[in-house]
Amino acid sequence: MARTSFDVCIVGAGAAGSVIAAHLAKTNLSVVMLDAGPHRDPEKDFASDELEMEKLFWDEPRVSVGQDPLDLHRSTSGKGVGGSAVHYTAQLLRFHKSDFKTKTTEDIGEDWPISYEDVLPYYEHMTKRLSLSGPNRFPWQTFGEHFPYPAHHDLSNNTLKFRSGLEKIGMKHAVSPLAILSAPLEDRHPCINRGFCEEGCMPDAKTTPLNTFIPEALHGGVTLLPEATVTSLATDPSKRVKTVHYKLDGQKHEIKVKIVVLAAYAIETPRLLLHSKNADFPNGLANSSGLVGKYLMTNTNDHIIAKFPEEIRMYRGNPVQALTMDPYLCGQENGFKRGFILNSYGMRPVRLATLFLENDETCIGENMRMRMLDYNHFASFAMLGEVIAQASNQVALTDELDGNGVPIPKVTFSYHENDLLIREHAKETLKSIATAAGGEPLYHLRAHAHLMGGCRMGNDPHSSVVNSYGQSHDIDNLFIVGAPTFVTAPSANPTLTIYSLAKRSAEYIETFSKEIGVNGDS
Amino acid sequence: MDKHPKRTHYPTYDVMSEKNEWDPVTQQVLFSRIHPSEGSILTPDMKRTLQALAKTLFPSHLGEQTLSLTMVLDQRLTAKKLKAFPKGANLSKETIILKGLTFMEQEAITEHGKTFYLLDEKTRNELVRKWRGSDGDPSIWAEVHSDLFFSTVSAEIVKIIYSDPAIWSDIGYGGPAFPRGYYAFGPHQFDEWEAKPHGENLV
Repeated sequence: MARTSFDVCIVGAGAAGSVIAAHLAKTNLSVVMLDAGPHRDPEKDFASDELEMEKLFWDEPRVSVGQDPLDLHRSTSGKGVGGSAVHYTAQLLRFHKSDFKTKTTEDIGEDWPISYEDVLPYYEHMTKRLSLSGPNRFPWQTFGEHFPYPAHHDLSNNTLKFRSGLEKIGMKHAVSPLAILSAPLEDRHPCINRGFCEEGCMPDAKTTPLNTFIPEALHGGVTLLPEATVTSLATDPSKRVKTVHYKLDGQKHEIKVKIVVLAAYAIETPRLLLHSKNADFPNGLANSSGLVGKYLMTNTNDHIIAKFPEEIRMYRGNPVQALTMDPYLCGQENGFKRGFILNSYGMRPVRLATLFLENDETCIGENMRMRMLDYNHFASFAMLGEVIAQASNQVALTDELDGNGVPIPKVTFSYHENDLLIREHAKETLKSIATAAGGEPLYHLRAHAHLMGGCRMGNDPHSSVVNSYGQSHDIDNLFIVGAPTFVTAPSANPTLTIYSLAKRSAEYIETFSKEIGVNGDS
Repeated sequence: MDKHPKRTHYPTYDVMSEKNEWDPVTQQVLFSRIHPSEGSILTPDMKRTLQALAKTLFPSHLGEQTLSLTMVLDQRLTAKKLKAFPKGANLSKETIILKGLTFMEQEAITEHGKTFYLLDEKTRNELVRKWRGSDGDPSIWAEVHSDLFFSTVSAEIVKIIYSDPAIWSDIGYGGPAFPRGYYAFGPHQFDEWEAKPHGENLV
């Protein structure tokens, strides 16, 4: 790359970074965006195969410890331009109003510095921009409405059983709001029900940064550097970030910048901040609060596998097709706080067999074979549960360096008592749904998905890392966007909020750039 | 003669018979898995040990599984697919597997005077049972505890077994579905290229 000076450098080209890039591409700012992974073409670089498409997950060393060590290499990660949004199930929901003020409403967790109403215009924008499909009348309108595309209508047997069970036990249910085309959009075709959403969408019916914000950013002149791993940030005597160091093709490079936007998800973002410590910032950048890396969260994402007399074939169609939001705040009536949502959630064989083994070490050999021979009779229903933020759940650095000379991160995680109560209640609810639908619930498979927190937002610099726009309290030209800034981990899937808050941050960054006199001449 | 306590519901289904309907990239991925190129990480001894271990852990899938586990795992190791650390560990999956295979042989020779792959089935089973449930003999399994090795290697073997088109056929999984997708929806409706429902599939 000939050019070594830009107005804005974005680190990470996932759901958050790509939105920032697309927005700033319309300004006169010069923008470079780096991503540690490749820029893939769905038709040439994806395949209909689980093992092959593991390449969409982060595969670099991470130490995961605690009472409940997290899986840091699957649906909690992404590697490549588009990030984890390339392999998401694309169920896009708004958060609930109470998600932004759990401390006030239920005396647990912490309140966000913003409300649902602050995010609402961006939710509405992204609902259109991402061409969401969904029901004409979504039973829980606060989580989404006015979907520009009709709800998907070819529902799998897995989903039909799920909805039948919900109907019988008196819970509301609906087709999920999805960022998956249910009708053509320009050159893109609607979903063909191939089923491999979590392996990357070859038909390109799923809306991801790869077919929206990335091409928009490139068209607007953003320089994208794939397979460029940022190794550290350096500050100048005025205590602003001045230089971004990165490695590409094994060589060290640097970029001089006026504004840095970290959009590298919940492990790499705090890792980079902690590793970039210097004499002016001895605890790491943006870390005067001591909270960088802390309050890491996930969502519990357990499955119930139920056997039915007839064939279900859960591999058919997109994995997540229907949901109920009824238990979202069910804790108040059941002796715990917050709650969960429920989905039909089909799995392919590698994922299912892996979860069988992870949950039961005796499930090898003939045990595994006997279970898997009934694969086509299994239905899979899942919960997505809120997880309570705890300071002890955190990202820190080990003493060991990776191939780029950056300390390997250590992630410590243990569930909160409330998380376990949510899990247990969801398990019993899922079992009753399966039984009501005529199935025999056989296996409860514990899993989790998504990462949030680690650089939480807030108004008080002593108890938060960034303000509600993602701007560091300590370094005004350093922004952190995406899931790390989340204060709570609601049970609605996080990515619509990630896209929406990134848009809100992008507008602020544009204004900020004018305030500090960045005028596109870098 | 099939000694398994349970049989496939789909004895006549062969997912590979549809391979020409798959997109070229997926066809190539499956071709490379079925005919893997030689990897460069596993030694011949390690391959023999791994093969014997897979037979001990998964005797169930013998005769049904068609992929060469050792070749595919070596291919994955060579392609640096196993760099990540398993949960709770500070070593890569690759290191854990390579060291574990070596330690297995060390203990087999120390205790029984033979390499693991030359031991009889009963002795192998006893050793594996001991290793899976414990940290292992500290004089041998110091760097990598035996239970960590077994959880790591089992997870990799399971992934490969269930990426085998022959196993997909056994469980009636439709496999790759691009560009055609699925169209027949509704109870008891399936696309005609999928496995026929039980009654129609039994010989």
